[in-house]
Amino acid sequence: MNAATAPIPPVVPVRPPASAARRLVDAIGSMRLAVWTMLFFGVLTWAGTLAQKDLGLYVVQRDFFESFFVRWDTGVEIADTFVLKIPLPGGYLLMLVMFVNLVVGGMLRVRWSARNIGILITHLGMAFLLVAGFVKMHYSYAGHVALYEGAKTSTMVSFHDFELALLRKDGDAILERTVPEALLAGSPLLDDAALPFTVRIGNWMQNCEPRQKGPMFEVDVPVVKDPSGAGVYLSQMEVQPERERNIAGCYATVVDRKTGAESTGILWGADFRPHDERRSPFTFEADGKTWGLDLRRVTWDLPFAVRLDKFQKSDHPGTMTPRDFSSWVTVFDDGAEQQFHIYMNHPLRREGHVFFQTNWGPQPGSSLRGPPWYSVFEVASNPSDYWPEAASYVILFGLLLHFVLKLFRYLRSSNHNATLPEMS
Amino acid sequence: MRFVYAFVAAFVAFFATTVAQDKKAVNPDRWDEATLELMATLPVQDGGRIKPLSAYAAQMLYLVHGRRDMKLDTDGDGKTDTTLLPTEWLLDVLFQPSVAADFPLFRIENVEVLDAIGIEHQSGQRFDFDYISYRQLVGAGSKKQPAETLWELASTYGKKPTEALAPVEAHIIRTNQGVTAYSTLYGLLAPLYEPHELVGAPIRAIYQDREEATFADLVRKGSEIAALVRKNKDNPMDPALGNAMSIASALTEAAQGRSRLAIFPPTGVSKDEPEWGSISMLAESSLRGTVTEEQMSMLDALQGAVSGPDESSRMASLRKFRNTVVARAQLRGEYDKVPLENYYLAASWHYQALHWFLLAILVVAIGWMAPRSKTLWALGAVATSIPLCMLIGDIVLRSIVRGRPPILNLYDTFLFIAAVGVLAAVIAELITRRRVAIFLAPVFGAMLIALARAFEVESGDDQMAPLQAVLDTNYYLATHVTSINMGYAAGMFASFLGTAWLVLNAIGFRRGDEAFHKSIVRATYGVTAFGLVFAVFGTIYGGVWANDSWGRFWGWDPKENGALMICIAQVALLHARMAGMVRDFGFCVCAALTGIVVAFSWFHVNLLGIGLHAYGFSSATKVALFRYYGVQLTLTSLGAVGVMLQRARKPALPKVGAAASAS
Repeated sequence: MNAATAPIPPVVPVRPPASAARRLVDAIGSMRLAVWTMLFFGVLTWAGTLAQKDLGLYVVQRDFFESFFVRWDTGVEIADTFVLKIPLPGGYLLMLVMFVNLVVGGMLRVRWSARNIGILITHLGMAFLLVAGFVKMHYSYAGHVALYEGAKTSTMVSFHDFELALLRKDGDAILERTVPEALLAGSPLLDDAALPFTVRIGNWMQNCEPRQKGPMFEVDVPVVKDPSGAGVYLSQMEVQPERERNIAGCYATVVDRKTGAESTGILWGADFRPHDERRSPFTFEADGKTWGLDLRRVTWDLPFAVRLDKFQKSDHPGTMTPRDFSSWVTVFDDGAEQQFHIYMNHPLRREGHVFFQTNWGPQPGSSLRGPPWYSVFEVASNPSDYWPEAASYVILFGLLLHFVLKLFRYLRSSNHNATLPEMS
Repeated sequence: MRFVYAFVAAFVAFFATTVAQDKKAVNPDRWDEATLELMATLPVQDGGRIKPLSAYAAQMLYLVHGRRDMKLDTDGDGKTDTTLLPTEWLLDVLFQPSVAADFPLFRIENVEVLDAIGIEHQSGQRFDFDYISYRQLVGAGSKKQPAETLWELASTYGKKPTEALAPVEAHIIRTNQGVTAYSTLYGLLAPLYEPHELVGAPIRAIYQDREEATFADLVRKGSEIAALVRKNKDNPMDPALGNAMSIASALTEAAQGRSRLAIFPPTGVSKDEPEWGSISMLAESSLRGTVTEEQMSMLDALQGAVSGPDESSRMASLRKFRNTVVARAQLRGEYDKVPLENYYLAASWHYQALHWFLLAILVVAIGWMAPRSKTLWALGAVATSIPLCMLIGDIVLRSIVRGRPPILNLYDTFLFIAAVGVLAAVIAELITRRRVAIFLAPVFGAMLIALARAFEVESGDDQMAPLQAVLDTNYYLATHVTSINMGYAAGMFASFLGTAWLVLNAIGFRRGDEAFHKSIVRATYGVTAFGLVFAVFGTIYGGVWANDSWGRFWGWDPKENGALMICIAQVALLHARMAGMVRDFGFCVCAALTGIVVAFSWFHVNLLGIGLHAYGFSSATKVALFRYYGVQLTLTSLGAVGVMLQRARKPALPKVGAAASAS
């Protein structure tokens, strides 16, 4: 080889070293980060699905998908010494990273060209979908309304969460203040100078039931007298994975500020009948007034009242397979009345609240028997109600556009024709 | 339950006079074709819908026999002489019960089941199935009836969790389910067989001094018999009453009995009176005097078909019964789709397609021998397209019969996914023309149709059952369900292609033909992208449906999670490819493993027993699923190792500099 025939080395343009900020943006918007985030999200989803069998949906949703980190208890024992627990990034963290990565890498850094129009539209739809999920998580709430035929209400009740309501009878009206469940565990003292008493909460139990104290056994919780004079105590029950099946309870000790007199009662969050107005709070007298403490599912006011006019359930002939559940309701709003028909897949949407036909009763086999029937509506308030549907159209359009264009480009390319085998 | 078996045993004994001595030889009288055709389209109401008798028969035969036909040895030479189709079998059971009791009916896959229930057998474990007859189970004898032992064992094992059941125990439970279902069927016309002697003036007065009455006669005068009983309720043992009380008891027993197949359409419109009557319901109505003239005429005809004096009169009565029922069903607007469903079952296009797919595999395989022959390539494409069209036709026919979009249950998913997967393969083949996709297509189609058949046998359910209230929306069934299953289909077929690439490379097939192997990767990419579009849309639209049904877009339900996992797997795969994180090898390994994710979402989440989609569980499905996981993992692992070994063997290319130096 001589110098004249030696290959000329290619000229490699020398780029100036990227700044730290630039490298950070590159990393945040990189496709590698997208792939790793998705892989972790896939593993988390798989783990969260399997974990539901033991933990139930509520706990899994909270611990796996609405968290920053989770330690997945696989239940697998290693050499009979310890249970394998795998740390994973939580769903909230992963979706946050995914959103930032999507916006930075998939929308801002990607070249805005006709070639990438499908990708841009798809990423826009995905980002919108994640935003919808964020809004749903932080700004929505859901509960239920259960009504017998002819009954009317303007409140909805949570499926899961409890609250302590302090009630005061004021003439015909009842005034109330509420304390959320999160503040009730850990034996808190409710002390407000405006009140003539303090309330000490003790022995908070997530799932329990009151039982009569017999002479043959002892219990390690207070025993209180019920109106008939019998001793009653709260018995701890196994916490159910389906959180709506748990009935919380606790002891409340009221101390009069003036006299120092104490009275202790049991608060139990059971709701025996649908939308039972006749609840039985723990009542006491203080400062010449009648007060009450009621442990109940969190209750929200609706912007209108609703009455169940008629409920109808029909089965496929000769079977117990339900064919249809239907409720006819009347909505009372600002003096006006309006009738609606709510049935499966056809909810009532009104003033930011959506009513879904979700259940009915009394079910066969229960202690109660119909008629009269009651109908149960799930009620949700979600500002991003329609956003996912809009996002799905955007994403579908983007994906179709991208892949169809890509296919046509490929079919028209010389690359494709070159790979076709020769046949005769 | 003991009572049921005692009743059935007595019933069998009643008909046992003409039993063939040789257990294997059974020779029922054959039905003429015209009667069979007519009876196949007799509408019956079962499982909440109107269906042809042929569909009911097929479902029952599947449930108890595990097949859609029954092979009989009529002369005892050990060879099949005749094959009964479902309608013929059912007519034999109903109208020739003594002969049908000897049919080789209940499929026994494990001889330990026979040992457990006390049925003697000559051979040990066989590779094929043993079939035992109903008479072997409930035939009168000094020993305890095997059916009774079977029921006791099934009751004991039924208390165990499904996953804790040993195969024999699960088999015993399944066999008992078949026997129970068959007992009901067997006794369906039982009340019509025995004439009732009329003794005593009061009861004879009702029947104009006749000495005997048929069951239809009892029903006709049911209200008068009830009045007679009420009149004499204070002195029921009065000898002057004769056997009036036992006649009334016969009617009451029939009313409380097991003749529950609804075959008598009411006279009113279907909206107001949706429920059809059965023999038991007619007996009950007769006591209240509410049987209509038309229903009475139907029952008379059916009675004539059972107890007519001769063959021709029995056949004439049977035809009259069928025609009366059809005429009423037509007036009620319930008959329109019955003939079509009967045709659908008889034509069984998907089953025909299975055979054609097997033929197509052969045709394409021959085509591999002449890779440059365009004719053979086209022949392979046509051979695959014919069963594809049949399969699509089958799906369309099912949709028309039900008046619904193509997928309503897990069974439908097999057929739909087979069709979409094969269609995607044909398109991929037209683009690549490498004969790989077109070879895998019939394998994929045949495998899924075979799985559909196995699933149908295992579940024993009506695969056209009406929908639950929450699913009653054609809009979401057509959008969400269809698109998510297109995602499943593409994901599965991409997994097939990825696995094929690995296996072909591992065995060194067309080593060095980069264009060939590249085309498989491109096809895998294309099918994955096709699947992604539908998986993403289907998943999100499932959320939209959930938002309309349950008030939340996303609830982390296992089925939702499964669908999300498919989307994540496909999106991650395509992004990893774009980012250069995986090349052909890595891409195909990941695509192959995506099949496991699809299977997890498609079936496994249903088996977890949690969430809103916990349906379709069966132990056989679980076993099949884990077998698939095992096969897919093994093929992927072996393929990957094989490819790495092949690459290690590949001779290193000479260095550019070295070549230049040598020159």
